[in-house]
Amino acid sequence: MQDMMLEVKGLTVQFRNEDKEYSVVKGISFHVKKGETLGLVGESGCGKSVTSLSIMRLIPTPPGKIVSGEIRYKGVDLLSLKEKEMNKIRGNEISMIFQEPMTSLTPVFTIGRQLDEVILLHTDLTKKQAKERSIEMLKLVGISRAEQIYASYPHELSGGMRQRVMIAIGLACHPQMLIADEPTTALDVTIQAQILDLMRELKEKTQTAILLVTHDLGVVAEMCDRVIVMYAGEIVEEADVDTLFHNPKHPYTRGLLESIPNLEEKKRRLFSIAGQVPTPDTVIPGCRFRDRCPDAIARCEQEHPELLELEQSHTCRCWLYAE
Amino acid sequence: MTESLLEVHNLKVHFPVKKGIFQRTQGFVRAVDDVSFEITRGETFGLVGESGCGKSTTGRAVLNLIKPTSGQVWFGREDLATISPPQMREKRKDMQMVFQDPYASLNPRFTIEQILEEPLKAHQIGDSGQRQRMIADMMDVCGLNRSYLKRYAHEFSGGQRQRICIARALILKPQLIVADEPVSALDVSIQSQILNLLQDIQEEFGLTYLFISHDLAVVKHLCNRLGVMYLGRMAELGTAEKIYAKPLHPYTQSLLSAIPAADPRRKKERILLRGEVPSPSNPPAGCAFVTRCPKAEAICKEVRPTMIQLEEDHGVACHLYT
Repeated sequence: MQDMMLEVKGLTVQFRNEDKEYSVVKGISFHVKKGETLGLVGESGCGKSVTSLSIMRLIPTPPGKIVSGEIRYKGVDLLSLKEKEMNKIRGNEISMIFQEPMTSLTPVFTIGRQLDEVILLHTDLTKKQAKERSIEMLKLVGISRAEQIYASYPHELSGGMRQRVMIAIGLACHPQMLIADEPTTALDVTIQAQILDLMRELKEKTQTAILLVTHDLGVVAEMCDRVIVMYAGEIVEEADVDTLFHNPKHPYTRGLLESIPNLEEKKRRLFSIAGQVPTPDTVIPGCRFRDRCPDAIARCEQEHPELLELEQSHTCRCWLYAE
Repeated sequence: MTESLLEVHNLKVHFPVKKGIFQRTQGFVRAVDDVSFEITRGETFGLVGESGCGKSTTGRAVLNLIKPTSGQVWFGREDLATISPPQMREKRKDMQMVFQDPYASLNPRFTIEQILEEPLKAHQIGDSGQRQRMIADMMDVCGLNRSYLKRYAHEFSGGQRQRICIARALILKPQLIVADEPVSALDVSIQSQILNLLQDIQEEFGLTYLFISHDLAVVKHLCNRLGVMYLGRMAELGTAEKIYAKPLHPYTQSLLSAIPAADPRRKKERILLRGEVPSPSNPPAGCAFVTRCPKAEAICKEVRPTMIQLEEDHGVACHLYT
């Protein structure tokens, strides 16, 4: 397929802790097409950030290791590339916006220098042109006094401004694939609305494919075309956004959707999923959600469920739907 | 049942900005600037706003953890701003706090038992045996297994830790609990467990909450009345029902429109704000919101709006309504 941007197949990532090895991501597969926004949802510890870091080959090794699987970007297997070749793709064709705007910028360099660095590394522009491009990028992300901000240090900016700078850096080389790991989590709602608006605009303009990693279902509903729900290192459900919100199948997805307070209707009590997310090193035979699942049946205890295709492009990992 | 438990009048908290080798005061950060509200016994009062708007400082000033620069905080029949330290100490039994970060607010060297016993010891309540019973009871109430007594905080997940924090606040049987973003550090599925717990204990012990949050959906779920703060000032004040149904202040309107709805079929009309929040050390002369307000008029730049009661239990500080 021509417009396939990113394909992940059977990705398994292990981490080593003292003498134990455990898989944080267990054989997950998905794809993102050109101009599409795929949401990756889950709670902390479900492996969503590890997945996005793996795509960029930024998993610290050791303790982490990609033990199996393929990550194909436009047909090229990223895992087999040399570090030098990977550097050409990273920040240029695929770029990433990290969660923490407070800590992802170097405090000792000006905003301008950090922006220029990316541009100079990946393009043939001269320093002067790079500066022009940087200022243009800052304006694009809605920073009003771009020239002034260009010369400032990160600590002089607010969180919202820093996140916008991060986005400007991420977009400086017009990437074709953008990985945004909780891009708005640290921000206030009014600033979040501005940033989401900006990302949507960019997608429409440049047909960038976006992988949006988040735990905020509101953001997902607003931004994504398709959604993947992860639980304890596995994909438990995948569907287009409308189906996921209006016809969720997996008990975990349903529980998540019911447990968020909602502005439109007032419930006396919120639904809550009992128990807690298992830590990655616990060995659970059968379904990993079983202990917290209100609908668990005997089979869930013994057999590990596979991803079942319920309808076209709607899959779910649950025994309830097996014939 | 309309006795007010807490009344805050014209509360101001200004932090001095010091500069130079002599540390001379160069100006003030007006973290809280003339805020008034009251909380009725048994209700949940929400304080919402974005980071830096002064909601946490207000919460701390209410508990006298920060000395107010001016204004009064009436708790029952006493003004907390003027009572003596021993009296304040006595009062603290009745007012407790739950903090935002359950990872930072528990002493890592204490077992759960020690954490829960400390407030009892500090206020010399009961003997050792009675304290043990109170701790065990409180752990049941907060959904903590009694076998956790000898464990340390690091052995627990965020949700469990927040339960410990709630148990610690509750063990003195307070009347008022100030909860500063108690669920914002938690995952969605854990968040609903803690919100349910907060509601349960409110019913059981007749608690009054001052609930500080930036999450408007959570506040709507939990609160009877709320105040919307912007840059240290109260922008809108009223019952949750009225504010959510008909927000008056342009800031509240944009805040509500900015929350993404967890439903892809519902496309919201957004009121996008432009510009940045001004610094609280140098706020605009007139309305604090004037730099970002889509409906600003000439008067907003010069005259600071006062809170006007448009109807019963719904007030707004905005020139559009004068």
